[in-house]
Amino acid sequence: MLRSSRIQIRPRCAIKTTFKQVSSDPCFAPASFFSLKRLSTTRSHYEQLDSTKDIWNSLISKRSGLSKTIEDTNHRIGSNAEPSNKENVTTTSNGSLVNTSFVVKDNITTTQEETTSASQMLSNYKSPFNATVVSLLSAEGSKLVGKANLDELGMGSSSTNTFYGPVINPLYYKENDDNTKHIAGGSSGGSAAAVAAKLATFSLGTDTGGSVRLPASYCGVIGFKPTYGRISRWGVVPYAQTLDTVGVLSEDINIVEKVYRVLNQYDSKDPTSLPENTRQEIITTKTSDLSFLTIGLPEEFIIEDLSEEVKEIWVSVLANLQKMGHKVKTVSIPSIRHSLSAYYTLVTAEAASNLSRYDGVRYGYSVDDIQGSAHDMIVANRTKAFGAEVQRRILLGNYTLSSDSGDHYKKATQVRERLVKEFNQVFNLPHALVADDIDLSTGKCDILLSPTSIGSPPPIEEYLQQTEENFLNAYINDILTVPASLAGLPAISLPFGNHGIQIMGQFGDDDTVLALSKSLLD
Amino acid sequence: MRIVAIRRLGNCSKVPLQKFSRVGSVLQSESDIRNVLNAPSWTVKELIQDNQQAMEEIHVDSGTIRKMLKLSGLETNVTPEQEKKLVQALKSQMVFIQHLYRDNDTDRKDKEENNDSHFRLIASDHKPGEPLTLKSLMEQIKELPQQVDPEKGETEGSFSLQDLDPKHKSFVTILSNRG
Repeated sequence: MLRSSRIQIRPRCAIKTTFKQVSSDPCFAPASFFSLKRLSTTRSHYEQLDSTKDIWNSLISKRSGLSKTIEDTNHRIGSNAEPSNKENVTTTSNGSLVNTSFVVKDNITTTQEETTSASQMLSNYKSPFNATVVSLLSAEGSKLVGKANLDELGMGSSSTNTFYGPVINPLYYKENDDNTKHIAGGSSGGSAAAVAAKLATFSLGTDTGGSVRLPASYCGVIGFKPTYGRISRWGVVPYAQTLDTVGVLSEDINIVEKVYRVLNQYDSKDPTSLPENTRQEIITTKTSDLSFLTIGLPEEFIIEDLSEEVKEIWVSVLANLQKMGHKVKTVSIPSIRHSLSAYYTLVTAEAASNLSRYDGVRYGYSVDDIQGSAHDMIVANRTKAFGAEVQRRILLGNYTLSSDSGDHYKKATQVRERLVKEFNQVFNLPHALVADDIDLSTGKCDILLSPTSIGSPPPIEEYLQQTEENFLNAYINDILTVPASLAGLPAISLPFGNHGIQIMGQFGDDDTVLALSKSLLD
Repeated sequence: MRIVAIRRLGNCSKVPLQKFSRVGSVLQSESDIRNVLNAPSWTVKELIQDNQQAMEEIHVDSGTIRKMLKLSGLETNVTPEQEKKLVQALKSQMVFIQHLYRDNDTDRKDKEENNDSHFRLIASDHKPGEPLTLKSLMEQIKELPQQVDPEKGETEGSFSLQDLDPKHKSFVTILSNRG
């Protein structure tokens, strides 16, 4: 445990200026360049839901009462299944989230409907328990209204690798529109699209390498990935368990914060959940004093691939933070250049292990005519029911782990450790877990700021063509989000214009990330 | 430039740390920011560029493909065209992974070869709790019946396998023919 005498916490002053005050300055960029979205409060949320069709294919299943245009008895789109009346969650009329509705990514278990993970393998899987996050939100009075579409089993950055058809980005496509359909980003594309289309107050996604932040950026909403271990993964279908983090998406930063506060609890059922004593020991920046922060600009994120529009937004946001009184410094974190290689080594290896449980024997998809041995049946089930991208990642993962290819998992783990220590050396606050290399010099950073994506979401057809030519093309965009995932840092994407700006904090310092976000958006 | 920082260890002597990341000086104006952002040092595309020489150095044959398919529980009987695509995919991934080993800092020494190196962001790895004694273990065993969780299926009747897959009313395993 760190003793307070070792660490000097700089005194903070009350907020003196806000982004909104600066935006009235004639030197500020044109107002049309920025879009500070607010959720409408003039209509009740359920009125909005009842009148909105899901033309974006954001949901795999909906609960009764979501939309009057959908048959109440057909809770699964395109299915004849009857909705279950089994309700085993506790609800309240007095909770902090009363009068809100939410959608969860369909890799988060619920008991009333199937949890498919957008995979044929789990198309008939009904969980016997609700995920902890679902129970907590329902207990606070929020109403679950649907399960969101996603890249199959969380594998992808576009929400096009799904058994239920691609998610369409609502920011670029409206009803009766002839506009080209663009990707929503992934893998939590359905969660982002549902919020952007106002089908729910907020949604839950999962973020392994950017899967909450990237779709949030593409769909023009807020997407928050808390510190790894803060939110329970009990009931979350695992993709890569050392990286999977439940995240929150909404158009309203206050809702994001409220939801986070409800979910930020230790869960004994999740072995990776941060223990209570560790949570108490985390040193964070005081939320009441957020003026004069030092904001780091990671040099390794300054890449040729950034579009001019994204770069311009990055300049404008940093310049206005300077005007608000904050300092901006460049930082260099060399291991960022190795982060994509490390990430795709780790996730494919962990996915290969996690997905080995899906054999169609005890649950999940199984072929109708069982031929040959049990092994033959399992092979038939997996070959038929997994999509192409999932099969490729399993293969790549097994190859990476095999002696045929080398010792890559270990090397990727070493790169990850080095990345965490390099982040520690640029943050003022110490890391709650990896704090043995304490540098007593001051003048480092409170948060880091970068774009969330390198450009705009491409049209679906263009994206599919690029990935068909070379599947590695799908990896490029993850460079801005993967480092925070590998290091377990809290990170949020905020909408500015049609692009997202990402704020990252030290491990455990979620409050500072949220507070700065509120000061930028309020 | 590598900066050496000093760590204090209570009453122990100071231990020099190597520092690989760096915090620069304050950017004073929007113009400073713009100048920095207009000077990119690399492109992500260099990670995925076709590198024909590197691809040729990686040996992935038909046997390897079939072995990986078998390990993955997938159909091994693939067409020559499918096999060619899989070979290409494995080689591309390996060229991509080679970037893990591109390290310009020659002063860093790799750890000794061992099988127990790992790094996870799990609290118990970095902040171990109280050691488990025989006494505490016996107490935990005594309390176990009160700690079972129906949500985990740890109590009889909490859920049945039939609930997981309503389509199949019975649950059978298939044994291969023996002898």
